[in-house]
Amino acid sequence: MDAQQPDEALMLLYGAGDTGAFEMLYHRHKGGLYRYMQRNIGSILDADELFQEVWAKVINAASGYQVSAKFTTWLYTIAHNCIIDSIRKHQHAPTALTVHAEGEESEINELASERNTDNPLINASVGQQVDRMLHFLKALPMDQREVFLLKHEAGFSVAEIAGIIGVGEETAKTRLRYGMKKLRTAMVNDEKGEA
Amino acid sequence: MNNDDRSSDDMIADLYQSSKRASVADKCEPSSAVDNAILGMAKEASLTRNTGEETANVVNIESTVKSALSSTKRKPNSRWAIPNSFVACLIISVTVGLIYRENADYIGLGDSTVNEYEIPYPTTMTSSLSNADNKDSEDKRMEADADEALGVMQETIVSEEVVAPMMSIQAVQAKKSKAKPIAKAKLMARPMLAPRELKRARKQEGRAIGNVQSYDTFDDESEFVESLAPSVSSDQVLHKEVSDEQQAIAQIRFDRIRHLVSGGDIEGARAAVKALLIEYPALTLPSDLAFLR
Repeated sequence: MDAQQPDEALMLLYGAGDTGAFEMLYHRHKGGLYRYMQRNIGSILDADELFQEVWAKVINAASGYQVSAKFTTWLYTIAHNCIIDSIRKHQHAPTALTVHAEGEESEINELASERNTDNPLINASVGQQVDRMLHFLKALPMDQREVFLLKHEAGFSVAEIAGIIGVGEETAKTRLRYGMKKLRTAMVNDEKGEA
Repeated sequence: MNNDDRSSDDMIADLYQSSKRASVADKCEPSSAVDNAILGMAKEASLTRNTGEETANVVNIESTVKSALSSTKRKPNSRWAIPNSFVACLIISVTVGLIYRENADYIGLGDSTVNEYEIPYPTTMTSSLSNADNKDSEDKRMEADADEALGVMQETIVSEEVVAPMMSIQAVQAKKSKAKPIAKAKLMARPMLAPRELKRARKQEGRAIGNVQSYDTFDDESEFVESLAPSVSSDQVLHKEVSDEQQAIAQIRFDRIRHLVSGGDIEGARAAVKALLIEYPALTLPSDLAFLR
């Protein structure tokens, strides 16, 4: 089987009974989907459970699958819906961002002070920076965190993200911008504190 | 967004990509158990789908046959089960009763007592038996009734022909003589006679004619008419009727003779008088026809 076949073709082959196509498809997307779910939910146990649930839905829908969009868009839409259902079921309280959201004026002043100094993110080691970034990512509001993950984990465009989470494109863009801003602020403040 | 922000965002994106690579290196992926579970589920679903397609036709045929059978075989309606059975029992009992009643006489199980209010029930068997038994007697009875009716009609016609002119004669004679109211009363009070009695009266009439006195011995016609009445007390009314009839016939014959005389046929009138006298020797000719004797 050609490893370069697109996801949609593999899904159609699996719908026709080719389990090898499904294995290839699974190994192609399992890491990203699992990270997306784990980092979105935060709990490994819930991530495993939801991960299996998502793939079970893919398997059940294989016989009637029709290529109407990218496979990844369809896959992450299923994952998003499973996460939403799980949150509603278990009443997951989205972790409040520990970084206090300042007003526009204070944020501008903060950015101005950052401009007058060297960027602390550049000075820290990569490993530490990754850990801090993931820590602050967990503290983001869920809608912003989800958009961030869809953007940087799965590589979707803003339009695709808007389609997956079922919001307008501007809303998705705003959520992404706010999320990035909070992450940036949190990391700068954390770096200043360490310094 | 300035250049520092853009560089910070790029830095964050790079950091996340670094985290992805680190997670792969740290095996931050689903466990092998999860992988096996998902892949096994996929294979099982694929096998089930293939076998399901093969058995789908059989299942469809079975479901079609079951639906057809269920549509043809109606579920018994328990609500109507008891009324239907009751109606069936009623119909059967009525039918058996009718058959028993129809054949009761034939098989000798019927009641000997006669029901006065029983409606005649025509049956082929009983009607054939009764017809065979009573055919002869009924035919005879019908013939006798027909003869009797015919006789009554004939007598009635004769009596009407005779009585009507006789009554007119009596009226004329009563006006003439103004006498014998008793005889007139007898005539008016004449009862109806039965046909057999009328026959017997006719026989007695022939015997009585011989005893009738001559017309000339009487002073007028009223006395003659009265003399024609039977003198025997037992058959008084009957004799009176016979004489009236004879007089009526004679009057008719006299009218015909007068008609011949007025027509100028004197010879014919004499021949008629001669024949009348031969037929009724005791008859007295009226005064206007006496010259024809």
